[in-house]
Amino acid sequence: MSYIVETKDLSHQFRQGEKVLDAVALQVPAGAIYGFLGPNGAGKTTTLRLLLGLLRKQTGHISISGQEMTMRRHGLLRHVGALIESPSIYHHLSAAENLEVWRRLYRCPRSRIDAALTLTGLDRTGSKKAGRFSLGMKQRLGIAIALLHEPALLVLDEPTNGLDPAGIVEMRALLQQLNREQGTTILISSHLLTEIEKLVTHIGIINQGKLLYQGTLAALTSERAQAGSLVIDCGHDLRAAAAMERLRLPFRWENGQLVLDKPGRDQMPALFRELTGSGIGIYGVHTHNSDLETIFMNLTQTGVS
Amino acid sequence: MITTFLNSFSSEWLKRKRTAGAWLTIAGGFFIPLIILIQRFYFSERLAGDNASSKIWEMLYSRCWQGMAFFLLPMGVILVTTLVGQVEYRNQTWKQLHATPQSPTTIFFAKLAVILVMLLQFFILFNVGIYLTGVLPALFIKRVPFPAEAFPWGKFMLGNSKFLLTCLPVLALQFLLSLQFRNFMVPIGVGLGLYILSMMVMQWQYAYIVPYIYSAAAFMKTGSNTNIYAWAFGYFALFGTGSYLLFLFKKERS
Repeated sequence: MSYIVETKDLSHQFRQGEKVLDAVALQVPAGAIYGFLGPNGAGKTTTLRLLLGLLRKQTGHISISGQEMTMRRHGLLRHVGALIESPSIYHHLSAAENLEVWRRLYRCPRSRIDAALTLTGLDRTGSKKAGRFSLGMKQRLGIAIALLHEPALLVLDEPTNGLDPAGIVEMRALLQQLNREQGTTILISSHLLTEIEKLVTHIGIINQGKLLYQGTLAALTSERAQAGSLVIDCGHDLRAAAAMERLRLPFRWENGQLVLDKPGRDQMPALFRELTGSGIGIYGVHTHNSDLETIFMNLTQTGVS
Repeated sequence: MITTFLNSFSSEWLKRKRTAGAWLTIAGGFFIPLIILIQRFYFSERLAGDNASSKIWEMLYSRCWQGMAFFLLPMGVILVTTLVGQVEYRNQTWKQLHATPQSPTTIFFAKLAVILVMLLQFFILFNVGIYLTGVLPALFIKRVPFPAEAFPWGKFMLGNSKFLLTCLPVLALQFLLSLQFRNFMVPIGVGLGLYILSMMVMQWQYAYIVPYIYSAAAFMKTGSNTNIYAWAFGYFALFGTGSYLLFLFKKERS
């Protein structure tokens, strides 16, 4: 598989002994929408800053489109669009003037300004100064700057910050459209797990500077689905514990409910036979779904992949 | 390489549009000539005699440069350089700028070039202003003749070049500070402090070692044994090189 972004043994520390990144091996496939997740201070922004050369690399390798970043940084950055943390806009200039500032640097045609403004819904802002924009409009202008030169790779750090729910939906649609129609690879970091779940094809989870998981979202959810749990409401009948011991099934009590690490399909009939045969009333049964939030919490709290 | 620099310069030039720095350059250029012009109209009885003088331009040049060299030029350079140099900090755009396909060297010199061109623009407007102080009274008042003396281009060019050289150390140090410190008050505070210091030590025999003193010293023509222009150029080279190296080896570009 060809990776548009690949890091090897990428480590970074700000001060002696404080390792922010520890041998991170990021692999972003070309054409993917790669969600980069992690709690605050996990090392997401540091990784993205290193990718763009905003931080001086200490150890490890970074390659973009198969080429070492340190060797061909300027050439490679021509094909990368970025929005890191807050949008970078000149508040005393209009949206079109802001884009003109960057257009001159990327040397792309003037028509790209109108195209980027239309794509981000800022085409009617006219001469209004960007400083008077709402937070959502500023964020969209940041996106317009990032995609102005039609980059092959978009690096977005928390791009939905400050957007209202409608804005978030629009942003998601825009990114999916870019990915689908122009084949733009998108590397996106976010705290909004439900949003990421709806958007990405691949996922990387980082915590305390270590990459805990990396792969397709489908593989992660299917892998974790195996490790889901079964919750049985049996009115905290303690006879259920004896039944589980007889069946040798590991269990625990949570809020008066019996919780079992998801038993195999073939174990189910014996489980319910044992419970009902012991005269235990069953008032409800459900499984704990392994949504991204659950998986994320499990990974980042236990640190186990 | 040159194309990259020109694109970078043109991008930087656009950023100064509608900024306080851009307005200050225009207003600062015309401020003193306007005051002198008002003063000339106020004492209108002297206008005819002054314009008929064979030294009219030298007189206007000297009167305009007096206020400019002592106060407006160093203050203007401190303010404009800091305002232009801090545009990225103010808008939190350093990270985006450093993620563009250009080297830190290109960014540094494009920014410096914009400030130098603005300084040049300021000098041109100031000289246009001096010219108008001589010509406008003749246009508005019938009995006032046009200046008898031909406009001394050569003398003006030489004098302006010297004043331009004297303010380069101020420009270079303010540029260094504005690129290194996020807080706007640091470069402004240091600039004002050094300017006040230079005014206080004006009569000191070693005053020429203070880098902000040269514009005033050039007007007063003090320190006849010391080549203040060489000192000014030396400081400019020193601060400029220091500024470039600090910018180039900055650990974090944001």
